[in-house]
Amino acid sequence: MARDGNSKSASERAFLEIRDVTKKFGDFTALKDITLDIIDGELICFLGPSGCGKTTLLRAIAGLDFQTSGRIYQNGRDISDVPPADRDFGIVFQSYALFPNLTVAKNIAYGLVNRRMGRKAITERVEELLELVGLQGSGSKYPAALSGGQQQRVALARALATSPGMLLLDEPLSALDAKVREHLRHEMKDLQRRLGITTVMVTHDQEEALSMADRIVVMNHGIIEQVGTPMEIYRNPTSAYVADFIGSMNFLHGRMGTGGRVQVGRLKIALDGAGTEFTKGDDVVVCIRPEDVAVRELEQVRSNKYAMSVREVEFLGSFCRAILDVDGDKNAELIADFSINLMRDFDLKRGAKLKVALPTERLQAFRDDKRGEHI
Amino acid sequence: MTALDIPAATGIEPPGSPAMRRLRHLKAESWIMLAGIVAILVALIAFMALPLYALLKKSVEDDKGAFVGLANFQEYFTSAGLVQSIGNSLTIALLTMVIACVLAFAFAYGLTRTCMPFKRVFRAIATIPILAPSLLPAISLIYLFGNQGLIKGLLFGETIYGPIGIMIGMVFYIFPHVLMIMVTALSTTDARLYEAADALGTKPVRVFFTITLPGAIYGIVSAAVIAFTLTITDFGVPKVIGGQYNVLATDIYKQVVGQQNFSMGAVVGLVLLMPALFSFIIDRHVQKKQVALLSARAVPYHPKPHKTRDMAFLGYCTVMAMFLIGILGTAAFGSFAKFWPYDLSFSLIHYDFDAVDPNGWSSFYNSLRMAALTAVIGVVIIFLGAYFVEKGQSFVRLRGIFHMLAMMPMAVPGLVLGLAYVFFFSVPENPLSIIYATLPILVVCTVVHFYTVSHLTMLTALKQIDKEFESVSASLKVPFYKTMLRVHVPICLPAVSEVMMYLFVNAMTTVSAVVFLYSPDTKLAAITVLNLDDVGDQAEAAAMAMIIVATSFTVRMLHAFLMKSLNARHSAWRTRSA
Repeated sequence: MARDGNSKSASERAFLEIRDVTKKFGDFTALKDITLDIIDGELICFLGPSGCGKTTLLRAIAGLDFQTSGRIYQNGRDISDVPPADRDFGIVFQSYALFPNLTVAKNIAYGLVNRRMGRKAITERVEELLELVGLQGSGSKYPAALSGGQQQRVALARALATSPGMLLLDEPLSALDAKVREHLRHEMKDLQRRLGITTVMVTHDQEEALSMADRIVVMNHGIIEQVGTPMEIYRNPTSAYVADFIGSMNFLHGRMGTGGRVQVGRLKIALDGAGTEFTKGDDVVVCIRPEDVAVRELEQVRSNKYAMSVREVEFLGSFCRAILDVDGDKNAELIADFSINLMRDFDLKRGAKLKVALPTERLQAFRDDKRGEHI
Repeated sequence: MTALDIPAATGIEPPGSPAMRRLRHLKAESWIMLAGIVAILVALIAFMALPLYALLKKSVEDDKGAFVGLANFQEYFTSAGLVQSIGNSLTIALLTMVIACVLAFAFAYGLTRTCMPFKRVFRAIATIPILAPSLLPAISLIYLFGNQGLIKGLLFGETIYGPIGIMIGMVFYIFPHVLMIMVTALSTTDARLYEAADALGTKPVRVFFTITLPGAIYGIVSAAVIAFTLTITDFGVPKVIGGQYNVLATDIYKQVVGQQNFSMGAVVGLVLLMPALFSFIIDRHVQKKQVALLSARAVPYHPKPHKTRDMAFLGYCTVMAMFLIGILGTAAFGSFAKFWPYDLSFSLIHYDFDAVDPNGWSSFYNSLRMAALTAVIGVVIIFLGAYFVEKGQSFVRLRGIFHMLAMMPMAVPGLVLGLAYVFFFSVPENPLSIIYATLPILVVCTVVHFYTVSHLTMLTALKQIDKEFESVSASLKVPFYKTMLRVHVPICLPAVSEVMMYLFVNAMTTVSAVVFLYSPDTKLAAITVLNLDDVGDQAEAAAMAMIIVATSFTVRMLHAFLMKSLNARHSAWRTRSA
């Protein structure tokens, strides 16, 4: 069971329990023995590349596609074989799936009409929801007259109208422009927090996951790679895959030597605590984030100090990305992100020499099963 | 791990197979859907598969119903006269296919790749033949080139009664069908290919052979297949103008209606089924390939003016349009002429159908009733069928079988279907035989006959609707049929109107399937045309054909008007904001 970073206190209860869920499409296994607890009121993100099974898992939770085997419990009730109409969720799709021939108000009221609510109560509820998503006065418009971001909000309002116990979001922001997306990200998270509704969001966008989620489930090839808070996932990836998928990462392929040191090209890298499970001669990949490559206050660092030269500098707006190496050694190339300040202070440009350190507490090491898979 | 107030998740599978467990949870709406799918499936089996089986069975039985193995086939293939028809049919079909494809390709090229004027007019004129039964061009050709023809000298002594007449008549009849596919094939191209060729300084002839033709090749093959099938299975043209030149379609009619030799009719029917089936398979294959050819990011092609080319195509299309109008006009003229060719003064005496045929005008009212019922009943069934295939949430296998069955009518020629109905429904032991010789059997047969094209039209319309609507409505606990009525039906209204018009016009003009099935009380207008022509009342036949054309035309106009008002009303939710 993927329990890593599952920082639940005793009072938090699992709202949704997924046990050994497997989904097969013919010979292809889309989900393999997925076990996961989703906590009441949290926003959890399924993150992974396309084809990793994240949407399949969401659709299994919704009952839109039944799992091949395994059980799903919502609030302790076994819903594994229950059709979507008997489950308790609201859903927002990437396409929004707004009914084009109905007005915004009628779209939002769509699920209410079937509840035998009075007309007045429905109108009030629709108004309330329009206000909730910031679309007051747009009730009589048709979806086609709205912008993408507004359509997305209508879809959200429609999903929330019946006050479902859980909200499912299938790539809810991917169809939007970058600017609108960033804005809505914030807004949705805020709304979710105010309503306290348990929310499952599927996304392939790591920034979206990092900025919105309480917890992230990183998926790959139908299995869960890691579960944890955004910070845990970013700081302590438990596999090279997660390390690679989230953020930028240096992958230094080397071989375990003596004294907890890894030989990477001409560099010897001390691992300290990170590499105790390896023995001499193992192929190891050492990881460090580009922003963790240290240049200042090197006096306090004892190990992993190297004299390197700047081979390439790429200006990326708020910071610069430099490619460093030791005398042109291709095996020990290092990407480092430097602030503009630092660039100025150290007068860094192509061909400049500088001393860098790889702080041991920032290093991670994984067994290197496929050499050169990364970078 | 979990809080105390909720039971722990055991993760243990309950007993029974997942399918059975899920069945228990099925809601009423799922049963409604299941019932709907099964009902349409059973209907298609009863009204298509079983009759075809009856036809197959008949072909290995003698007249008394005893099994005789392949004796009928042996008799058929040893009869020189009958086998000759196979050669005749193939010759006619292949030649017509080539001629029609060349003519339609050039016409389509003019419409899509040149800047000639009056494109819309030409497009409209090109649809004229759809409005008429295939008997009409044959009648017109006899007016023009027959024994008393106005311009029979143009044939230099050749007779119109035979292959020449059949081919000209067929080219007229199939032209709009072939043209439609050619236009689509030539419209779906990427302008950037031409810009690239231009930038590389490619000569126009080379551009045509390296870009235009390969790009349209699947469409051309598809058009050729349609042309071949329509020609080989049509009965109206060769019946009227074929003379002594026998083809498969007229053989069936002669065997069954003329000689009452049902077993032999069944054998010829099966022989006719072969080429139709074969071209159906080719067409399916080609269509699958065509989908992959066009990328979504293609830039539409806009032709640039080119005086010589544009004028040349204007000239060609004018000639072609005159041919189409000429054929229709001749029938109209003949129907109004007092006594062809001696007294050409205007008269309406040929429209007094009751004077020449006991079922004269009543057959027209029968046709109207039949066509209206076909359109209304047909569109409901076809919409539901297409909806279940495209939007159904479970019962994957059943829906697959249904879709396969829905594709089959395309491969079955009308004559074969009609004959199969005779064998299946005329048996008194069959409880369904109560509809034999009634209007309902004509309606059912016509719906089945034209099912596939309507089904595909509806499917295309439904495919364009977001596939998550069903998921959304399930999550909002709204049953599928409410969403279908509130969302899918309104969005599909243009396709609904299109299918209704298609069914109506075809029901008005079809002869082949219903020619075996009508009774004196349910005789149809198109059959009356056939009968009048048979007994030599050519002017009355032309007049009745014109009545059919006028009716089809009215319905088409009605459809166009409806579309216009629909568009206006729905433009609010159709226009996409940028």
